[in-house]
Order: sequence, then structure tokens, then C-alpha cells
Amino acid sequence: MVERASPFAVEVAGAAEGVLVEAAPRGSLWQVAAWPETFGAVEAALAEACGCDAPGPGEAAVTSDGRLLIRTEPLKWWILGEDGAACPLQPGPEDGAWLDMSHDQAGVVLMGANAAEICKRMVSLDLRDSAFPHLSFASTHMHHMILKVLRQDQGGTPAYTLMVMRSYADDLRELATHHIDHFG
Amino acid sequence: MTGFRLPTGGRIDRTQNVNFTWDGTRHVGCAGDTVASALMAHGERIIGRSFKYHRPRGIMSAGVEESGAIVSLWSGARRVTNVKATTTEIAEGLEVFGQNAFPSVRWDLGEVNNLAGRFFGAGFYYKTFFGLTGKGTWEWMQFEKLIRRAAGMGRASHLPDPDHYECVHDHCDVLVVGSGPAGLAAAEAAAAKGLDVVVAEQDFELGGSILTGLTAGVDGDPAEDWLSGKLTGLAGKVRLWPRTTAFGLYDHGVVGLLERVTDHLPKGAKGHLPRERMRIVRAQRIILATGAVERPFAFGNNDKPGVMLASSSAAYAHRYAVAPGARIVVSTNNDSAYGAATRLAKAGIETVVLDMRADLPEAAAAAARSAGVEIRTDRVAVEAQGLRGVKSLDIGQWAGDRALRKGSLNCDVVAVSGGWTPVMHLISHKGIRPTWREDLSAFVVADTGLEPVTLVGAAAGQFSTDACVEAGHKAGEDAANAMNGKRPGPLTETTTDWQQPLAPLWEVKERHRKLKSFIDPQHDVTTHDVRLAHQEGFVSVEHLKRYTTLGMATDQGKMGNIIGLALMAEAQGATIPETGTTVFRPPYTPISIGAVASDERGTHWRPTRHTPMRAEHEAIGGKFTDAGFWRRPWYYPEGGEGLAEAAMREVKAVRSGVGMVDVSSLGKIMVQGPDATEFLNRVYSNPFAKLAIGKARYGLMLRDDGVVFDDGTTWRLTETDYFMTTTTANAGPVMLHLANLLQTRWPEMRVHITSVSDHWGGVAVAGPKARAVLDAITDIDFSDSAFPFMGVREGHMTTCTGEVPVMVGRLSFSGEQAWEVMAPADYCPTMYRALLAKIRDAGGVPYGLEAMDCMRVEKGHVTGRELDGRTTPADVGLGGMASKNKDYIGKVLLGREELARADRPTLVGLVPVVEGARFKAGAILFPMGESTGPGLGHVSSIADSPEMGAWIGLGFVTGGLAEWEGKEIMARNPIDDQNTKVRVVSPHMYDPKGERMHG
Repeated sequence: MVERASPFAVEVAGAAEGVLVEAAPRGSLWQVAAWPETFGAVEAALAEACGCDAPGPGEAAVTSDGRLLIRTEPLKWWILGEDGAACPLQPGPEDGAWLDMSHDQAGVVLMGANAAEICKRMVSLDLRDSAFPHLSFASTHMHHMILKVLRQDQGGTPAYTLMVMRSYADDLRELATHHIDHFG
Repeated sequence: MTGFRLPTGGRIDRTQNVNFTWDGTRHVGCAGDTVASALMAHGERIIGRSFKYHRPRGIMSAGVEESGAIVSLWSGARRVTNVKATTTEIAEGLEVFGQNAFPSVRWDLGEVNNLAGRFFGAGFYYKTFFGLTGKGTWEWMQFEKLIRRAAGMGRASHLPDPDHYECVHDHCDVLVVGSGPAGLAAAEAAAAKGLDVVVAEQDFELGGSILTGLTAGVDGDPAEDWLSGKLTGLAGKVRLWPRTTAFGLYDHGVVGLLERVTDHLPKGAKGHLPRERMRIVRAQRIILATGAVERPFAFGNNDKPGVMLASSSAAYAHRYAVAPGARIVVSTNNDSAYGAATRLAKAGIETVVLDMRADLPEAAAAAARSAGVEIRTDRVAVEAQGLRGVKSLDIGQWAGDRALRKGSLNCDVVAVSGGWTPVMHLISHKGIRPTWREDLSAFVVADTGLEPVTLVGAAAGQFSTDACVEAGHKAGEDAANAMNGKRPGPLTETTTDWQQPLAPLWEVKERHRKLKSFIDPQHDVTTHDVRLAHQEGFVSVEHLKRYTTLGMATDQGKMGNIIGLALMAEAQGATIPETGTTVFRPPYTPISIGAVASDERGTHWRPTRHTPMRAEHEAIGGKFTDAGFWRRPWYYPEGGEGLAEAAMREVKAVRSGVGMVDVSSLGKIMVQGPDATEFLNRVYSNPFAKLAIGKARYGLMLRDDGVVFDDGTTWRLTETDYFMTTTTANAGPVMLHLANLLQTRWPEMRVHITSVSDHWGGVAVAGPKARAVLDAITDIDFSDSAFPFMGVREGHMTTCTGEVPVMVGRLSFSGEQAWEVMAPADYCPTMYRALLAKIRDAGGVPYGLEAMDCMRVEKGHVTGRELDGRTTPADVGLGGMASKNKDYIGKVLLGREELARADRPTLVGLVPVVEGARFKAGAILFPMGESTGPGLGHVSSIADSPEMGAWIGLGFVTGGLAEWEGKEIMARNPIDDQNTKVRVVSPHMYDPKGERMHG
């Protein structure tokens, strides 16, 4: 397979007081979905396949092989992993559906003590630790764009991944670096 | 005598000089000064000019209620107008200018207006609508120019604002607005319960009324010690935001705040910070400790420089160590002014109190007298005297409803106190109506209903500091209880520590003399204007407000609204509560447009979408155009070509060889599940039940009302998986439409829809050589038998750096043999480069949106220009796609008589009769000889067709081809009066039998 091209026209890199920004790695993104009546079974099978507890709504879990299992919608999960990783569960049509979306999203990671402060300039979510702790996930919007927010702290340092549809990548990059400028 | 700096005292930092200019003259203030206090310290009296009459105006208050000292700041692109000098901190290098005056506020030629003041009464500009003859608008048009030039406030810069602003979203458990005793007590109590608390204070210093010096003690401690202790205790536990105004209260606990970030900093210290920060705070509970503003009462010439609020005069002495004047007369109807008088006297200022009441508050009066204040009972201010500021005050005996003039007092300041008005603007934004309290002569909010809002302190009518603290503490604890699901208690009762009741006083009148008395100095609204409005039939307070413009200036009626209401009530012979009150609307104080726009400006006023092959287009010189949020390749000029030449060349190349266009912006939706087939069959007007795996079908989607919503192709990939494409414009709306159907109409269907618009990028490869190009570069068999029209295949494309997985559909928008090649977006650049090389080897070209549009017009294919939200399938020649054998969205209403009318305009092709003639999209089509009225229809699309060798178009004509084919009609563009004779032809002007694309 050919090498994947970055969705960003310019490299995503920036740093300011208490915050670093970089591009989220280009990896695999699988969506697994269930029907209302098969939800419990698919959830259990997915958790088993991933080797972790099933995350609740708005939560993420780290799988046994280091991927992220995220409950993105009432009947849907995302599995984020390394490029080329297979879908951990491929339910049949009677149980649900699965879909490769690995190229659909583009993300930036904001990391550091001030990362939430930067995010607050783009996102209207309540990002306080009590409301949005480590391994939280939310679908929201930013500047007319659909936005996914994932908090996955890095060694205790707050880190937020902001994901938009790939075509908006450069807008996301420009906004993130613009707000970092406000922090010097 | 004018104001001067007191030798001691104040909360200013005398060691830190701050240089600023006033109308170009250098002044020096101290850190902690406002523009108003610094100008007052320099003896400046005339700071502004009034709106209509250009009367000189001075400093009237020490806060946001200011109506006189309205100035402009900075110069050039940074100029900010209509700023209250009383709330603006001085900063090193700050430029302050008077406004609405020529040549300056001190000597203003516009003052001539004052001589003609009798012609500028309430609603004078409305009367100019009628003109001098009462007939018409010509005179109004002349008046309008003069009025617009003469009226108004400062002049804004026409240059782009060079500053930047930002918007921040914040959340908290409790938002306390106001940092006086009540607010700080509330914050402390809520924080003690473990809540996340924010305190927002519009002032640059926290402390509220304590800063004015009128609060002697709190909880047994000297007020300023109490304040200091509280701020120390709260630091680190709650977020304290000075310079932050809560300007609007919205639904669900959303509060708009504006933080002034850098205006007070010297130029070099602003760094990367924004000028202002818009904070949108979502709070679980909101405690409004917004205090109260002192109100004046109306008396003769009460707008002259030197007339100010009593509490404000004390605030200047206490907080800023500035004496507003050398001899001050305080005229009051309530106890609170005694504190102010005492504070002024202690500052060494000769002070006289005129109390309209016969009974004095003994303790307060004794304290005032011991400080040296002279007190006169039963006396009231009648008329200020002095040309350019107060020099003396005519006083009178209060005779129940009017004054009897009783001499005059020399003074340079008249300090007025007519009572206090609770600041309840924010809760008013939520539509909560206040109730009238006779004992306070004020409106007070007694119940906030279901809003998560509590009012405490003076904002709730509590005019006793200890009661404010107690109420604040209770509100803080109530907030914690409310967050635990307990119902908060009722609002604390109003209370005062006044010893004598307030005597309501709105206006001082004389029996035989008419005084020029202002109630809204900023908009030059007088007591006479209110009575005139009533006389002219404006009996509703809302009408009164609009007719007189009372309360519509930048102070939003903080000073004068209640007086206006009282005078209207008097004119109507009604009570104030019967007359009612107006509703306040955001913003509480003016906010800059820059802050509202924040970062959504310049290139970020809207997002921009790029296709995965953006860099490849740029590398070969592609020019882009906007298509919604998308930037799409428009054309690829060669050798200095313009748009028309390049597009013409590209079309010819495709028609004769091969070309490639980026179609990544098409909406793409995966439809999955056992019921996916049935779902599509219901969504599209044409049948989908029997679409085979590996085949695609063009589908037409209608709205419920039978009008065409969108079109596109849907590819069947497996028994239960479909790949739907939509138009670029409707990618989002179609997704919402489908989600809505699944969630609300057919929740039983086992179908998942997922947008994959950005997972897949794609190109259309079109032209007689397209097959050869694709055959050579993929592992897919492109022969006609193996890959028939509307077929779908998956395979791999071989490139020099590896293989790219592709999904290919044989579809044609151009009218040529064509295939849409989709690849995962990150691989698209590689795919594009590989294809481009092959296409160029075959003599082909990349083509853009312009060429694509030209070819589809030649072919008679429709886009959003034809599917414009008004057309039915039959209108666009696709009536056969509206199935009669199944149900689908839109079927029922498509059968409406109106939509089935035989004479609806339907799609036709148009060619000019005269060789070389042109016509425009949007032109109206008329039968020959007619040129007015709705005509037969309109031109929807145009193209300069190389294939036809002529300008061509698509359009809609009543009666359609059946009636008009081959006939001549007129395309009339009334905007530039262009008329072009055109002939009606079939819309399928190129390869009408489809032999090329099926070949």
C-alpha cells in the first residue's frame, strides 16, 4: 500500500506556555454498530475482542493491544488504532454493521497544563476535570464544523485530541495554532 | 472652582504616574484613576456634548450609568467611540478625545442647536417625515441628511480593527455577578460548600460599594479590612474576574461576559493578549449581586457640568482622592446622601445638604454635622445656574408637589440623590417582570420563577450592608443545596437601614416657570418631552420609550428610565406599577463588535474545506473557486489563458480524448443494514428494490412537499451495504434528512447511515480514451461487457509507489464515457498523480468545475441551478423517475393539483438565434413582443459550448418543449436591459441518444 498523505497542508507544530500541539497520528478507525436488540451482545463481543471493559456513553477504554475503544453514539463504537490494524469485530448484518473510516478524520492533539484553556477557545464543552476526565469523548461542533473531542492524558498530563472531517484539517490546524499564539 | 486632587487618601497609586492625552493635551494621572477621575483632578469640567442640543456635559457619575462624560479613545484604526470616561482606566499613552463637537467639546459650534431647542422636542424627526407642507418625503430626504450629520455620538474609524479578540467557553457551578459585600459573601459560602465559583466584576477593582467609601463597616470590621480579608480568603478558591461585565443572561444558565484584557495596559505590555475576551459562561446557578444605581431627580438645568450623583461625588473623593469641587450642595430625598455628604466634608470640601423632608435621620445627620456638613431641611434644588458649569444653585422650599424658590447657594457641584434603582437588567433579559415597592420607590424582582438565578444585596432591594452579606451567604448555601436537588428558598426580603423613609421625588417643578429639566441626559430627553409624548397619544411605556428615545442611549436608561415612567404615570393619572416598566435587553453595557466576532473574521469567518488532492491541483497551476465551504479546482490555465479559454480547451480535450476532474466534494453516505434496500426504496422516488450488487443507480430524492430535494447515484456494494453519493451542496442536508427519517418515522428499520464524505476522495475520468487510461493503470477489467454502464467494481490502481485500493463506478455527468474512481482520501494524492501522468500520456488534461459545468449543460444534466427547491421531477424532465408503483417520501404531495399542472415551466434548452449572441443566467424568458410581467420562465444555466460552437443555456418555459420547441422567444435581462432572441431546443443538446457515454 502507498504511504498515507497528511491531511494538513502545513506541518502541525506549536508550543506555548503549558501547551504543545501536534498532528494526531494517521491510523486506523473502524466503526462498529449494533441494532437496538443486539446492542448487549455486540457490546459484550466487542469488549471481549478488545480485551477491555465496554466504555459507557461518552467514554473511551484502552484495549489490550493499546487501541482505543470509544462509545461514539448510542449504538456505535469507534476503534482507533495503528494504521492497518484490522477491525476487532465484524458483526454480520443481523447483528450490526462495521465500516472502515480510517481516512475520514483529521486530528490535532493539544497537550499540557493549558491544553484545556486552548480547547475552551474552540469548544463549548465543559472540560473541567470533574466533567470531562481522562478517557472522555464527546461529539460537538466548532466553528460550523462537526468536532469529536477525546481526552486521553499522557502520563498524567492533560491531552485532548480534536478531530474534524478530513477536508477541514487546515482550518482546525489554523485555529489551534492561532489560539496557541494567544498563550505566547 | 473646579475639581482637584486631594493631598491624601484614595485607592490610587500616587507613586505611579500615567501619561495620557485629552484632546491632544498631555495629562498625568495616577495608576488606579479612571479617565473621569484623572480629568476631574486636572480641573476639566466639560467632557462631552449632548446628543441633540450640544449642551456642555460634565461627569455625572462614577460608573456605567454615566450619561455626560462620553468620549472617544485612541486614534486611527484603533479609535473607539462612545466610551464612558467613568469606567475607563487610564493607561500609559492613552488618547482621549471629546466627541460630537466642533472644534472641541469646550467650544462647540453645534451649541447653536440649543438656541433652537424648542424645535427639537420628542419625535421631531418623525415629524419631518411630513415635511413643512405635510405632504411628503422630499423635505424629509433633505432633513434626514442634516439630522444624520448633526446627531449621534463619536465617529468610528473606517479602517479595519487591528486588534484581535477571542471567545472562551467557561463552565462553573456558580457564577456570582458583582463583587460587593453580597457577592463576595455568596462566593465564599458557595466555595465553602465545595462548588466551583466564578465572580465577575465589571470594575477593574473588586469590592463594589465598599470602594466608594459609603460602607462604614461590614460584619463588625472596617469595610476595607473586610474586603481585603475576603479577597485574600477567596484567592485560589474561586475564579475572580475583574474588568469583566456580564452583559446578557440567556437560556439554560448561559451568561455572556466581556472581559477587557489589555486596554489598561501600556502598549508594550500587551504582547500576544487579545484586546477583549468574550466569555460564554454556562453556570448551574447564577447569583446576581449587581447592586443598585443611584438615580437623580429632574430639576432646572440638571445637566450642567457640575451636577452629579451624590454617591459618585463621594466615590471620587474616597476612591480616587479627587474633590469634584470646592463647595458642594447635596440635594436629597433619602438618608443615603448623608453618608456621601459626610465623606465629602471629611475630605475637606465645604458641603451643604438640602433634604426635602422635614424629618431628618438623626444619627446620619448628627454624623454629617460633626464632619462639618450644613443641613437644610425642607429644601430642594430648583435650578442650577452658570453658563458652562454650575456656579450656583437656586433652591426652594418643597411644597408637596412643587418648589417655592427660596434663594440661591454658591457652589460648583450639585450632588443629587433621588433614591436607588436596583440593577436587575440581567434577570429582565429573561423576561422576568419586577414588582413595584412603594417603600423603596423602586422596582424589585420578587420571584425569579424557574430560572436558576438569585438576586441578592442592593439588586434585590436590600439597602443594609449587613443584610446584603447575610443574603449573599444564604444565596451561596442555597446554590449548593439547589445543585443537590433541594429547592432554593425564597428571595430574601428587602430591607434598609434608613432611619427615615424615602420621600418619592421625580421632578422639581415651579408653579409659573418652565424649567429645562433632563431625565435622559445622554439622549437629551426632558421632562417636557415625556409630557409632549403623552399629549400626542403615546400612552404605552414602550411607545413612550421609542418616541422620545428615553433609555435608548448607551446607558440604557439606567439613570432616567424610572423618572420617565413616573412622569408618564403622573400624566396619565395612574400609578407607576399601573403604567408598567420596559424590558431591558442585552447588552447591559455596550460591547464591541470585534468581541462578538472574536476569531471568526478574516479567513476564519467561515471554515474552508479542501479536497485531498489540493496540493496536486496547486502544483499544476489550478485555479480554485468557492463552492459552499469547499475550494474546488475551477480551471487549469496554460500559457496565459483566462477562464473562458482554459475551460474551452479542457472541454475539447475531454470530448476528443480524456480528462480528469476532482469530485471529492460530493457527499458520500454509507447505508448499511438488512433494511437498507427498503430504506432507499422509500427515500428515492425511483425504484431501488431490485438494484443488483455491483450496480449503481441514479436516484431522485424529494422533499415531503413533492419538490426535488437532491439527486445522486447509489452504489450497491453488498447485499446490505450501499454507497450513496449526494450533490456537494446537499451532503449535510441529505444526511440530516436520512437521520431524521430513521429516528422519527421508521425507527423500526435496521439501517445505519454514516457520512464517509471525507473518507473517500475521488475523480471522474471522462472521454473516449478514459477506458484505455484506466485499463492500463488498474487491475479492473474495463471492457464494456465486464464493466457496463452504471456498473461498480472494486480493485487496485498501480502507482510507482505502490497500490491504491479503489472503488469505481461507471457513471457520466459529462456525457462521455466516464468512470468515477474513489480512493481512501490519504491515498488520493498518489492516485491523482498516477492518473494524471497516464492522462497526459494520452493527450488528455485535468479539467475543472467550469469545464464540467459546460459539459453538463451541453448534455442537459441538472444541478442545483435547476433543482432549486421549486421544481418537481416532471419540471426537470425526470417525471418518469417518480414511481407510480411504490410509496416514497414526497409522493403524496407531488400529486397536488398545483404540482401536476400542465402549464408548469419545464426544462428546455436555449440557443441564440443570432450567431455570437449571448444571454445571462437569471434572464426572464418572454414570448416575442412581450417584455413585462412574469414571462414564460427563466434561464437557469448558461455555457459557452465548444461542441455547439455557440452560447447555450438551460431554462424553464411554461408549456415546455411540447409548446415551444423550435420557436423563438426573448431572453430579457432587465438589470442591464439586454434582450437576446433565443430558440427553444431539447435540453439534451449533446449526444441526445447517449451513444457516447454508453459506448
